[in-house]
Amino acid sequence: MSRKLCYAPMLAVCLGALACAPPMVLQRRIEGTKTAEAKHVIVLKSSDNPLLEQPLWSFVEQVPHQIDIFTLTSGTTGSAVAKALGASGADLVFTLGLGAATLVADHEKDIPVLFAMVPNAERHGLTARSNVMGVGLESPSVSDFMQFKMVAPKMKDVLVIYSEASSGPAVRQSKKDLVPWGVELLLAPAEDQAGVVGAYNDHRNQVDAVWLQNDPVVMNPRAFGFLRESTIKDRLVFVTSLSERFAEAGALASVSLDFSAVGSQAANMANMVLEGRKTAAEIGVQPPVGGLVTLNQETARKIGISVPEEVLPFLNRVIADTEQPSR
Amino acid sequence: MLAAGSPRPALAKGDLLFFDPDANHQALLRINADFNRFLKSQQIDLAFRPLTSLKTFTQLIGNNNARFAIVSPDYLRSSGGHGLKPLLVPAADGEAFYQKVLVTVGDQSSDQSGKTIAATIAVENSAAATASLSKTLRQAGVKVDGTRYLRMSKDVDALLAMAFRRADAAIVTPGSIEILEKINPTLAKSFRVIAKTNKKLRPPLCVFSARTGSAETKKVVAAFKKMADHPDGRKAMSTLWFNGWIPYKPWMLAAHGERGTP
Repeated sequence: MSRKLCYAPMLAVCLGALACAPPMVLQRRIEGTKTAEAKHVIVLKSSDNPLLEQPLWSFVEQVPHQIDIFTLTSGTTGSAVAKALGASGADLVFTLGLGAATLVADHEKDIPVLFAMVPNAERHGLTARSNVMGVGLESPSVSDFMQFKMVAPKMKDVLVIYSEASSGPAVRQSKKDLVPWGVELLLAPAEDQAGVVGAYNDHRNQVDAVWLQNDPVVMNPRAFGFLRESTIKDRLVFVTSLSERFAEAGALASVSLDFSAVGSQAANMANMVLEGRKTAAEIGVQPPVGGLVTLNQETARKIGISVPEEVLPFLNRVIADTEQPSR
Repeated sequence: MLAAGSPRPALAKGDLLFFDPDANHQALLRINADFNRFLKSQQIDLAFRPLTSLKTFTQLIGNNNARFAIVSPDYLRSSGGHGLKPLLVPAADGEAFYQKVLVTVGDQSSDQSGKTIAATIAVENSAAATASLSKTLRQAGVKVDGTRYLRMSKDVDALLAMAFRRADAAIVTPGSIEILEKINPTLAKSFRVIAKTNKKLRPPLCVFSARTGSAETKKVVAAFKKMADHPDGRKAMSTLWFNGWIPYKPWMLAAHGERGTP
């Protein structure tokens, strides 16, 4: 990174005139370009969770302004943060994680607020504020399936087992969205493990694939284990969203979020606002772009599919088949 | 992520360094083991070390362990070679050069000023990689004043970002369009190529001739020429988008990396 970093580790800094209990701990200051158009961006992390680092540094590398990076301290109130932000003269606040996003969005009405790494932004009231924009954490099903189809292009009829309470509206939307892409979702509600087993057994002969999406009824070790073993036995494609760990554990393929791309997407949104090209309201909340595709070649062999060699360069990770290497 | 370079196998006598800012770094992570298995199978006592940082590469080439390097032609030109002598060049179906295309789904103007282009850009040294990309696009006749880049980890994502209107254009390899065409022909048909970059030489295999004997050099060259015959070698090559090695010729580098015909 060519930009100058000023370290202030563990230095508690009150941005406002707060005498004690500083609301945010300054971790780093990154100097921006010294031009008349130079702006000041504050980054506020909800915690020191390492997951936040990738989007953070991707963002920092692409926003050419002074950036002060803070982490929330425990017990911080929203009013204290708002006061501190007001005194800082910041042109934009970039929050990472749910805690920082809701705290700032609830109390800051003037400065543009950009969030990332927040699950269910709509549920947390982040989608209906004129000064708030962000990158959602929920990857669109169309995007996931475009990636799945690289490894299983013939996949057409796909079983989705889900909890109505947790995912009903989302899977119905996915069903609608995927029709133009040649994918027919077969929706099978279930509320517990017995329901998962029943739904699978009822529908396994009607589908050529099973999709594990972010739902507590199926995204747990028992249900995953059952679906992994059953799909291998029945030679069905088993694809999963959210985490590469599912492919590591035996699903054919997984698509997980590309956190670096999320940071880049956020940086583009920030630059548009800082350059006066668009407002936060015009940008709104966007789904994330980009996904990390992981293929498990051992599972591919077990279910009898062969992923074309020319596709391999386009995948992010290929878990080799250790039992039967290709030599 | 390969922050400073992957650890070298302790028993290997020398290093085969790899540095190419244009390479897909996710792919490099994947081929590390394949490359080392290939080298071992040929009884070549080298450790393959892919690097993403120019600084680390520059440090390591001063080390006596560095015997060979697969390195970007830009580096070879700008550094005067650092004692590196090109031997072989990767080739796809005999072609040592590659190019990317700039595609859009809407406005087909080559003026991308103020717009967003989705591109595969490495996380490390992204400022340099972005500047290099802008230069490449300018050479291809594209206006890129104030253009922003949406950084993706692979070309297919760049195409999807454009298709979903998160970017105005995408700069990708033609092969990625072919892959998407198989998944969704209708979507791929909506893509319009508005510019082609000049052809760029793939990173040559070079030897540090001052510290590597001719017998070792001959052994490595002979093994690389047959790399496609070995499953691990073939896999590594395929991941890096080529399928053979051809002899290096001075005109390849002399044409400043961009060429019509020799």
